[in-house]
Amino acid sequence: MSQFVLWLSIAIVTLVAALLFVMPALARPTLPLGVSVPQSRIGEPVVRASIRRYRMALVGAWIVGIALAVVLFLPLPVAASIVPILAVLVLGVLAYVFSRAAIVRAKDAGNWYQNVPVRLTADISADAARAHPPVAWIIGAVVVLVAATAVGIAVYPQLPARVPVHWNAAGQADNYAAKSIWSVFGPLMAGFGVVALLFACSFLVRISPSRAVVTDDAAQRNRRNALQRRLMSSLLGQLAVVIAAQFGWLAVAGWLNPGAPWLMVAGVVVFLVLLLVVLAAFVMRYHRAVATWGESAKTSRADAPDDDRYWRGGLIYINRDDPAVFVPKRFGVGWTVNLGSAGGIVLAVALLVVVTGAIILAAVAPR
Amino acid sequence: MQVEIDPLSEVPLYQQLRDRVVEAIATGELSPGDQLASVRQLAVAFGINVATVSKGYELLRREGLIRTNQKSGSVVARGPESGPPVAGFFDEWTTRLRTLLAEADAHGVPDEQLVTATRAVLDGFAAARATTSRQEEGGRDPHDKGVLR
Repeated sequence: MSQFVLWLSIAIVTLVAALLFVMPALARPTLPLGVSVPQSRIGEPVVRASIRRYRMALVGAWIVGIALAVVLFLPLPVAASIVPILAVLVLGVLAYVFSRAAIVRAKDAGNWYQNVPVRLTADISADAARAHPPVAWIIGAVVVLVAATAVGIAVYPQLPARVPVHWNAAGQADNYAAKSIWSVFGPLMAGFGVVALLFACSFLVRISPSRAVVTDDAAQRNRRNALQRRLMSSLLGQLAVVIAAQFGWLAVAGWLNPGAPWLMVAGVVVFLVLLLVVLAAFVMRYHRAVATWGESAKTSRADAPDDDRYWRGGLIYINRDDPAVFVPKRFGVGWTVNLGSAGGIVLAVALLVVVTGAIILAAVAPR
Repeated sequence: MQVEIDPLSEVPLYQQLRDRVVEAIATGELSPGDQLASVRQLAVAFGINVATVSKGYELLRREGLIRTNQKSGSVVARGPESGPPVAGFFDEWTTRLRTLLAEADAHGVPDEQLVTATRAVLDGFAAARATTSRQEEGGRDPHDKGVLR
């Protein structure tokens, strides 16, 4: 079998490890590894040491992931495409949980919040900074898919009676179906669905609550919230374009030149490279947007309250008093659900059902 | 406008919320006609119970400082320049002032110091109002200004 699976797996493992590795740089200094600490303690040796340990553990996880990909690739090619990525994710979470525990212990032992004034803060004025949905990017994605559909309509009469519907990792067709609207245009319809979903997500970004933190001054806070939302919103738009291009390319290549596996492989490689570029650009711009965190730290009288008790393992948020369904993630970029709210529980259960359902379907699906 | 509340204070959160809004009206940071975030929005932004924010707004509503309707949500209803207070306000306020002054007296604060401090606070409010109204001239949405002005 083609070495492509191996390289693909190594590329994804590296991408996941790299994203986890840069996460501490995207967090507020008063939330090292998702532990709430007062401003006066952000320079504590245990904080630096824990972040260093987390990063070293991630380098280890990355090496384990690559080793698993290399070892599994010959005997179990299917496992080689999934197990290494899962391994890096699980090891990454373990690195996070164990590294942050040291900061939690030092904080509790040293009573870091004793006599530290704390404040909650929020904007009481009705106008909230709202990011525009990434309309231009979404239109671009739709244009790409419509163009691919137009090509499909043009070549439809010339397509053979049985068309390829599945390709193996080497880019060779390994499953065929009778020619129909569904077998020919199905992938493009899925593409339209994904673009619509990303567009819907961009509205969620728009209305997502932004939590203000007392250590930032008001102007900084507003600018940063607006910038973060705009970046999240345009990330979704760019992903829509890249995914639409991928769906369009694979569909058109499958119709026009089904005998050229390298066209398929090239499509996947270009897709991964574009994905990497979009994600890297996002991380860099996001980092620049949050780099001003801590600038005003010296001037702030009060700290944000210690809210570690609502974050189980620094990962899962459960706060019954908090009416928010979505809250900013403790560690990393984006939002997570509040499992203390009815809406959050419903969403989490729905997600769990969809994921388990997809795994079961994939496992029992006829080959 | 940014509001700060202390979750560890003995003063209940709804009371702190109400106090901060009253102070913002006195300093001109909030003026008649200004829209406030809805109860739910504000509770989500703070990450506190909806009932707490609702209670704070209810206090402000009963005092006539904000009003709420279906269409425009909660808006600031009056300010320093909206004319004399409603009947009975001053008597009720004097009762509370009495307690506040008694505290200072009991702790031995000299009367002159009390008068100076009061003057300084009032001057501070007036100065803040002057600055905010200068800043807002021109740059403001016309419908933002209240009908009570």
